[in-house]
Amino acid sequence: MPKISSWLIEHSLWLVVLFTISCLLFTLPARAETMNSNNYSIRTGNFNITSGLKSSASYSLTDTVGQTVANYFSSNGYHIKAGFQYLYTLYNFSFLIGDTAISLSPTTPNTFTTDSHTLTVTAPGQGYAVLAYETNPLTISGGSATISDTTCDAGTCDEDTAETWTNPTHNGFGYNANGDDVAADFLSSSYFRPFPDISLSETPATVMSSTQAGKNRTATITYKLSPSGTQAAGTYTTNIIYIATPTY
Amino acid sequence: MKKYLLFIIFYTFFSLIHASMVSAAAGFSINPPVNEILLAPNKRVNTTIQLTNESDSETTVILSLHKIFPSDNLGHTTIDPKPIDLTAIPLTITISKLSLNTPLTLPPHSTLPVPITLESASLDKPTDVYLALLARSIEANKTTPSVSTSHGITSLLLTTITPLPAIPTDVALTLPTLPSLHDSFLPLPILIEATNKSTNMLQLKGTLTLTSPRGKTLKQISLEPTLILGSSTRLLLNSPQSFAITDIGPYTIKVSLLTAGDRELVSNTSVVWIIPLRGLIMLVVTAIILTILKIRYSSLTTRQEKA
Repeated sequence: MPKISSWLIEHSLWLVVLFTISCLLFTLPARAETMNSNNYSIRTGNFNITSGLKSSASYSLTDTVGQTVANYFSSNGYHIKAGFQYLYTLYNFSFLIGDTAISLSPTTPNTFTTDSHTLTVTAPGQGYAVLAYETNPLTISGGSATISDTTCDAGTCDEDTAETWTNPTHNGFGYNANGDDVAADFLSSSYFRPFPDISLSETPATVMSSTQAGKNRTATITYKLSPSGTQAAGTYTTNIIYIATPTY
Repeated sequence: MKKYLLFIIFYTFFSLIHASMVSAAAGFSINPPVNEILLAPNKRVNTTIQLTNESDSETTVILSLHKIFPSDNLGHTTIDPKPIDLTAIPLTITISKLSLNTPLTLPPHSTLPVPITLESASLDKPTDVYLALLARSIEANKTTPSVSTSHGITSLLLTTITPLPAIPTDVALTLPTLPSLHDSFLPLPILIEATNKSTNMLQLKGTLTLTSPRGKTLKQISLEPTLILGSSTRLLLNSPQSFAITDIGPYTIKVSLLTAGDRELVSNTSVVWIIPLRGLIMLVVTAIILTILKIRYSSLTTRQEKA
């Protein structure tokens, strides 16, 4: 041991030089992680001690710890919020429909036939709206005969204003919405509207809307049909389109 | 043991059969739902929207671009059902590897990245373009139902193209018509609306400050940052406010609207007299009743003495 230590002391200068050269030659440059694909490129990254989602029975915490130069800077004319925060969308904006095929047959003149399905929306942020319209009135296959949209019992309901429709001799086709966030004019299950007809350039109507974030907001749409006694026999069809739009 | 095993087998088999008979919901999710884009003329930006088929079965979908318009003052929009004429807007929009208005099939629970490139035209004044990317299902009907339904979901593309370093602003602030006199027992109804009179969208925030007759700040409410599209109105606050009354007299309500960079755009001040009206009325009524009772008691006593 004494021999080794005296050797080290004698050659310490050379050892220091050798060590320094090794460091310069073999140290890898520090680089932020770069990731890319055909669709994206992340050019800068972030070094930190830890980040992510932590939770226990009583809390949930997202954090980013130990990153450099994370702060709020301001001067005349600008602000900078520098740093990286582990942020993620609580949930995506989504729209589900319970069943895409509605059957209103067979029908009997001056008698109501109904069918229903559900619309379900999950919206983060500040809310959403669901708009609806029909591509055309109920039209006979291979022909031009149509079943008119309803005007309800009083003859005054329209695409934006629901009214009661309980008398099947008032013929037509319409819908009711019941459940979460439905338009306020659907006062009960007896209130119906006709669909806006896009072939007549009518504006889509709002069926559901909210200004709050929410998960699984569900409404039941009930379709009602009552053909007249003079309606031509045949298969009548239409297409109803529902579009969910986020609040900006 | 054999019986239990048979039961388990039957139960599992039945569950599988039953599950397949229950029709699963069809639908989409989309992320991000709103894209705010600021572009200089002749510049390009790329963004990717993720479209997910939330259904248990394959779905045929069509992507299309549509104009949108504010439909109320709550941030809702209505959509023009006709796909936009892309030659009529000062933006060139391309979606790589996908085609607009062409059916494509999404496997169940799969996510399709939709990479969009927006390239602005050469403009000499700020111009906004408000669009929605609509992903709508096309149903391949196995039978012909009376009413077939299609579902669609949108991601908003809100774009300002401007050659200027600062976008001109023109905002009008609407305060509620407050009563001259207000009962302190009741909450004060506060409704604040901002109208963006320019044609360019704007992020606004602000503060509402309630000051007592002595100049003391009783309450300060922050108005959260809110986007207002060009030529539209947005409700910033609509809730009754309660606060502890310290003095009787004229209270001042000041509303200031600021840009995201804290530059004040507009402010408005209202004055309302707040008094404990119900308390005063109760006091007056009580005094009147007591006075009447006293007068009656006095006259009764006088009569008894005379008698």
